[in-house]
Amino acid sequence: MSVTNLYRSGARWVGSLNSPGLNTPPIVEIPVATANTLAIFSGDFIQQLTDGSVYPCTRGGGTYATPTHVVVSVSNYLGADGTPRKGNYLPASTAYTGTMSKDNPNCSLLLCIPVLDQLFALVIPTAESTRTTATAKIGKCIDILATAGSTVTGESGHTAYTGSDGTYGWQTTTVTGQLRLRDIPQVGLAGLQNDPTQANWEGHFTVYEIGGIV
Amino acid sequence: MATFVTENAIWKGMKKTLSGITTEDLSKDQCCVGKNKICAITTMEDGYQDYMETAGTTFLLEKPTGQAMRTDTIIVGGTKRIMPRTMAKEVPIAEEAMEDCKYKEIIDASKRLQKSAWNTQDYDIASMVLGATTIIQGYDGVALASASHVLPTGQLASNCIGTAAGASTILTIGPSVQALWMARQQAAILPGPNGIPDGKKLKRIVCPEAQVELWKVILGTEKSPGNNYNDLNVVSEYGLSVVPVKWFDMNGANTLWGIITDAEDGFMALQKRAIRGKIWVDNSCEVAHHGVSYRMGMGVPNWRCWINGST
Repeated sequence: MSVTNLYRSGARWVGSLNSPGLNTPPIVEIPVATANTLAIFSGDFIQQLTDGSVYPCTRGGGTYATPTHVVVSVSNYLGADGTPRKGNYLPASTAYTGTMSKDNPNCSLLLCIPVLDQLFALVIPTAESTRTTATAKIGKCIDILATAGSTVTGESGHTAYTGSDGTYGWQTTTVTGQLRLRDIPQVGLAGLQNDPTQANWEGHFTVYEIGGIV
Repeated sequence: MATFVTENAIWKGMKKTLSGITTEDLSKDQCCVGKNKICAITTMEDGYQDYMETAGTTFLLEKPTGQAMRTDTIIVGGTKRIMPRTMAKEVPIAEEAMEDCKYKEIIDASKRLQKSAWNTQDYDIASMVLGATTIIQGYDGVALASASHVLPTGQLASNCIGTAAGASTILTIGPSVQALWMARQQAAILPGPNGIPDGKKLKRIVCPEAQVELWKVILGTEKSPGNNYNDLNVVSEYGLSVVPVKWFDMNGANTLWGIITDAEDGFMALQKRAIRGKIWVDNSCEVAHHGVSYRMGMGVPNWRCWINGST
């Protein structure tokens, strides 16, 4: 008997590690520099740059390899028709004039969850051979696979890396694998609804290296 | 929406411009929960419930005149403990999103979570069958469908169709009249705890949606389907009903099927707390949290409730 895992791509906030309390994620509003090269989608891992703006994360070892935030939604951007609007993704090459600041009504602004001490669900596309081998991955790190999201739904395409173990795949260090697997959530009483021996199982991750600003 | 509902993420619903919104069916529709399905959900009285099997005496012995009777004994078998576990989920929704959203169909968090809870219960009960060959469920500490069930006496027994006790591999067979003959025989000779056949009766065929029509032809045809049209179709007299389970199809388990028998203490779903929704507000963040949870335990203490047809 096999299980077809239900899945959604993108990072999904599932809880705070150190301040569960009311379980509301911390959210900050962050500007994006004009003419962003890549589109940014809800659920994307992004990295904050030295000027305070953010850029979508790329695969490990690259320039933008250290996730600092996860995108919730887009609170403002200048549409192609010249009208500011809200949305769930920021189109690529969204250009605006004026300063990169909240004071500028045309500035692109994201709502983001800082990753420190937060737990995120992320899909792992590669099936493990057994539950035991999947469980053995808990505590190990893996890179993101920064696939572009959907311009129809605005949802992120980010998943865990799908290649072999090592450089970007499952590893014990975090230089090129920023996400650390903390848990394989048991969905349903028998746990059968999330089966790591099938493709697209779900893991709960923390971001191991935070605060890396380039 | 990266798991947090903001007004930005539902921006399409901020003005009345839509004529239709398609979403999931939020009505209660459970294919496994019910007395005539896999099992009904009943109440768990205490913090856990234990089920045990006991082997009684077997056949009598001849007693020559004037001699004392031979003795027999009663053996206590294994125990199955069912513990309740809490299943829960919540959706945080910014008050701004609630204020700005013009369509109740978009958020509707309480109804969505209620539906998720019904689905989880239903899938959980299906899981007992989906995991029949892998999940340890009964008194004897082996999987529900096994040729190596252990009786209190130490004897092995099988509840897999056409498979002898102790066989290393279990036979699987597709839906057919012959399969039902074999299943009826298997149920009729299922040993009770003391090892003597107890004679269970077949009640309900549990199968994926993919097999429903096939089973209806097999069960409903008056004369033998497929061949020898003058023969009686004896399985039509078995009084079996068909319980289609969409969760099997969802997982590609299109060949899985088995039959529930009339054995007591079979499939069990024990509810400690019914599905309960609640709403709380994080006033500082102005975020409304819609949560749902229930407490339930499940298991199959008595493996005699199941004749495994195919995996």
